Amino acid sequence: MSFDPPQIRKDIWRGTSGFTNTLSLPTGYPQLDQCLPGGGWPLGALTEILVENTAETPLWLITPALAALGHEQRWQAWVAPTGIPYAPALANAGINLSKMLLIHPPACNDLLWTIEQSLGSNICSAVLSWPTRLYGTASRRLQLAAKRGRSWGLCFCSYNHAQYQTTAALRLLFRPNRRGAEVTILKCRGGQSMKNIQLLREVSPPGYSR
Amino acid sequence: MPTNSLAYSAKGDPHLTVTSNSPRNSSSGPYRGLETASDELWMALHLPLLPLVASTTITTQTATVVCQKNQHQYRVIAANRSAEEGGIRTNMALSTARTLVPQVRVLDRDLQAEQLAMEQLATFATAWSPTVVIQHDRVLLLEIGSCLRLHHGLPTLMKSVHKSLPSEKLGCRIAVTPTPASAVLCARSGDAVCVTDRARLISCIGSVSVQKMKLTRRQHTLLMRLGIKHIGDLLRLPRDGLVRRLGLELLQDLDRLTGKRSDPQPIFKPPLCFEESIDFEREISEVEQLLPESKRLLARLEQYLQRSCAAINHFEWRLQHESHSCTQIPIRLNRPQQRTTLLLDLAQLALETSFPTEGVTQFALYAHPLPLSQLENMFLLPSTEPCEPDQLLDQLYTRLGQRAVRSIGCHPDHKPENAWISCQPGMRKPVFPSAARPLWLFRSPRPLVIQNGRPCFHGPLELSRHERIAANWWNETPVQRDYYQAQSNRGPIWIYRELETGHWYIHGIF
Repeated sequence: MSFDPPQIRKDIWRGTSGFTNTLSLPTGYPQLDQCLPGGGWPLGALTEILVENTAETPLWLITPALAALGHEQRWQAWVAPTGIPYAPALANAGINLSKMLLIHPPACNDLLWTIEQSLGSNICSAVLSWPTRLYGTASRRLQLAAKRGRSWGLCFCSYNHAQYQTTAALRLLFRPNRRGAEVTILKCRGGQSMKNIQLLREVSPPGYSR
Repeated sequence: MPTNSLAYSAKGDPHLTVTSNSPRNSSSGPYRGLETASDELWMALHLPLLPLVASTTITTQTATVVCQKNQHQYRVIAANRSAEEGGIRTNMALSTARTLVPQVRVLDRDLQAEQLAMEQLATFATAWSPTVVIQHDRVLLLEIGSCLRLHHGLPTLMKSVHKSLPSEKLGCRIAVTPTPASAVLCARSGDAVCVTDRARLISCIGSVSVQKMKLTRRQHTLLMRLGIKHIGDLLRLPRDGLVRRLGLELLQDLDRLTGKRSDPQPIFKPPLCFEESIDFEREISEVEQLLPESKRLLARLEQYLQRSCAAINHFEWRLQHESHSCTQIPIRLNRPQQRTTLLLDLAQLALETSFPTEGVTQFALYAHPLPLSQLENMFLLPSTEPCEPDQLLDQLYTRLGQRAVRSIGCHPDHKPENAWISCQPGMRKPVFPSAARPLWLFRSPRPLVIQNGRPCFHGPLELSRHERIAANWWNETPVQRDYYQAQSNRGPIWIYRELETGHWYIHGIF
């Protein structure tokens, strides 16, 4: 007689089942898609990308997905970016600028509120944020808000955030290199952590040269 | 406890006696057959206790009167129940009233407050009829014949009026007759009358004393001498003789009563802006205490907007302090709204965000509505956009301020820093083709480290795609830069060399 736990208890969750119906969005980088459950960025959840310096955000990693979200006609909120999302290049990358919200909360405690409101409002298809601190309760609240608003929550944090526990559905460590980047999946709901995924970029960035 | 001078809560069920002279009606229920009345029908509401309500917000059991100076003598204008029980009547000299009830509380008549209260009531009454008239001396007149079907008949309308007005507090007396003058007369004389038929009107007003009419002293003496006590007696007199003895005006008044003469009325127009306040007896220092009140005020605003077919795109909380200073908390809406109760969260957010440290003695809501006709295009067609960010934007604006929430667009400028522009969310800006540009631009260019005469960024750089930008030489901020795409160990970056100084900078990352 084989031992089959789910027949004993129906509420035992097995790692192989579940999460298959989670919506996801292709990242535009096949090497990364292969490693993510659902084959892309998890929608209705929080994604954390840890970068060396948040002032040098690798937007190229997410622009294909943001451009693909454009057909939804929902808004994309950028909360407290540490630099300037450059409009001419974003438009070239296929992002609908008229659906973009650029929010700079004046005070620190307004930041998380703004992210939560934008995520939970069901008005934004994606909320990109650059929080200075994000752990514990805050990340849990954002995760719930993202689920409520069916929104893709995206946080760019620095490397030292890796030591904190968060409830983000996906946590990536991003190391840029000459040809693209090396991505480590620190945490992935419904999948498994993976090291050193090599992402290759197109040789030249979009735009026409003279 | 907050007190509102005119809270339209149900205050018991006042008794209304319906005098109907028709045997058909009196035999089977007082209101039968009234629905068929299609002619003009006027409802007059006499509010004798309005001066009391307007002069004080506190309702007490002690005898209270409101008095006014009239020909060198103070006379009682209104008296509350306990004062009346002590024998005080209206129009009595104040000295007499003081003799009857020595401990009586005397208030001065506040005509301005009374007028304000009257206007509030009139605005409120536009819920029942579009034709509302404020008559002098505390009478409100409504033409209801044209809107009986809307209210499912007269009995339902009467019930609604009684339910929503604080009838007992205002001493409200209601009369319904086919002519405005007779309705006012009946309401003033204190009889609760409901007559819908012109034929029965004469017999109804016939029993009213002539003294209730506007009479000069001469006319009054003459009528008394003739032994004419009731209006019915007057109506029976020959018309030409009446004109000769008592003047044409009296006959015209009589004709207005019976409807023989037209009687145009100045129609009340609701005020253009909404302003309603709640006074507190004690200072409020916690925002939580205001939240239920804010809900009430917003509900009132919504009623007002529905009645006046208007919407608002801007409203304001006004918090009055003990020191007579006032905190104003404006709230701007992205799109005009009529259902203001839906804005409760937003309004409370604004209150919580900018609640003053000083205690609040008065809490007011102010709004300047826009007529819907101006906004027709916005409401006529359903919105083509599948999701409107209004609610989110309103919330963000309220908490973060207008300037914190923007959108971006392209701008035709050669200088890279100026090739983008921050604009109002939802604005569609044209996109211009450009050479390869980085997705991420630094807020300000950062100087690069030079090693062996070459610029470095996390190691040595390979330069490619040269582009010279020489712009703005015609104004004060000229730029002359040689831009390069550089391949670094961290991916492609955008760097430039200042032609004038030869310094290297990193401007963005691709």
